Amino acid sequence: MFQVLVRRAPKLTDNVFSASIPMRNKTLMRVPVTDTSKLVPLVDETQKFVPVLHRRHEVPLRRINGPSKRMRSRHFVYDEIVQPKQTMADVEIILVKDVPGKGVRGTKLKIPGEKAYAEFLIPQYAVYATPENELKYASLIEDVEKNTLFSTLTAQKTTLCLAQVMVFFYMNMKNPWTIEKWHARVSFRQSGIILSEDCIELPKTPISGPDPKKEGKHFIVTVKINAKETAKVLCRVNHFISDDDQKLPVHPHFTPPYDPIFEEDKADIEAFVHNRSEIKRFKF
Amino acid sequence: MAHRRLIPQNKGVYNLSKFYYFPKSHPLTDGIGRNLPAAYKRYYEELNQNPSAVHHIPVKEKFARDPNTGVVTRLQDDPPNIFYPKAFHKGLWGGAGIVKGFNHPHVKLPRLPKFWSPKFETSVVYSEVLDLFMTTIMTKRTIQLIHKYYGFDHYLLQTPACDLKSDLALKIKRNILLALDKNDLPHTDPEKRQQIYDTYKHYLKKYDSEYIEWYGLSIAEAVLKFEFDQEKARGKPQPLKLQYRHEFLKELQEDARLVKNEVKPVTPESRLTSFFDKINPFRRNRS
Repeated sequence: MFQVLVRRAPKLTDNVFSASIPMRNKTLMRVPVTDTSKLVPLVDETQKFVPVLHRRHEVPLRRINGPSKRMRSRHFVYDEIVQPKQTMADVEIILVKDVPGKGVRGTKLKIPGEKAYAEFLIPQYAVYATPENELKYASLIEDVEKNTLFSTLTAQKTTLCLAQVMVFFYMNMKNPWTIEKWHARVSFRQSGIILSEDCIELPKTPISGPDPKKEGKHFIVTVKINAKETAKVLCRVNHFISDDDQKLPVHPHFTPPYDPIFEEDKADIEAFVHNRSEIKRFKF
Repeated sequence: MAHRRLIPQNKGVYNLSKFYYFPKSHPLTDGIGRNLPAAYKRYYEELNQNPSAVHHIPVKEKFARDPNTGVVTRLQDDPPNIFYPKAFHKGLWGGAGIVKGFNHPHVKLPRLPKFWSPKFETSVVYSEVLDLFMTTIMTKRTIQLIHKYYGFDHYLLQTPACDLKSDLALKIKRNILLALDKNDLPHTDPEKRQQIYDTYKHYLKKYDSEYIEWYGLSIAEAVLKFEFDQEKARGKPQPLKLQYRHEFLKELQEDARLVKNEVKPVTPESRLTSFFDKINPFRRNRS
């Protein structure tokens, strides 16, 4: 608006609001700009995100149930009712599937409408908490309210996060060793997971080396979260030496062959690899 | 373009119309559209009702009293003129359209033309009855309305056609109603199919099956459907050669019957005619 005013007033000495600006119809000017802020509370909730307009000049009264009178161009001057920025109202939903980080099957959530629509209702993780649905899932809702399945909301998320990581145990190629808890702590830290030794559970039969038969082979370590949930983590033994000539090649994580150290773990490891692709679908 | 009074078609009509009432021509009162069934006309009425207020705050009271003077004045509701472009019919805008008007921000400045339109987003809707995901252009108002009615199908089935207005929404609603009316939902699991049918079947009380057949069609489509139905009722057209062959066979059979009964066929009156035919000098082909 200011730019227009400047363009209209070439002489800086003149007052901007003096008669130098051409006025077309002085009678029209007398209609004041409507104060639309008073009209904001009248706006319906579904009108929040569409332009809501108010006529500045009143339309002449027509006959009751009669045709409208001829409209002048001034009747198409509108004032937009500018509403304060706001989010969509909250919607109550019931989860039908386990959503990591949000809750298990049967939890009731109250979240903003846009998020509920895009992230829960359209992927069919949840349904609306209508009276009929509440009756339908009553047993599930009760179960969730009475006994919490997970210690915290993020506990389920962390189990799935851990399932995506493979931990490499870099062991010495020359000196003899058996894998202990502090080995596990260090190798977990190398792959980005910091934990204390209390929550680590190694396999019952000890793994010792150096042993060329165990090179590049897998075993399973269980990790306890909040002393309640258990998460299995896939680990691999790699022999390491600082001499460049004797170094062995290290394959990237989650690449075949998935050979186990203990034959009992074979089915477990295969299931682990198979499930990983499904787990990756979730957003963390 | 010439003025409407100068167009030869309107020249006489314009003056006469002062004295005689000429009803405006309409596709449902003139031509083939006149023969359309009452069910379609009922739908057309539903479509052309006044839509609910979207772009303005409606005035519901008929009169208002001035608190200071006590003078009663009549009120009226005049919504802004909304137009619905072609793109409106390809998406689900939730009844919102585009408003054309003037913006007059300051008294001392000229008013400027402006278009007000809602904000659009590409999003997905899921129809439970049709078991179908669709990517369309929507507004946030559509999502709000879906939340209000607890689901896309409920939203479509509970709102009248005048509020949906969009061609796409009406066609989806038509398909939903047809699927419910014929009870052939596309779900493979029979248990789930029955469960969904039970939740939505109470809407069929509002719409009878003849109404559903004509629901959501434009006039051109309705006329096409009407003509097609009529042709179907008439059956396949038979070629005339079959009819003539039948007649000819009947004639032959009759002749054979006459020969059997030794009834002499009708002969020319005299033999002379045939004789004179042969020696006719004006005949073209002389053998």
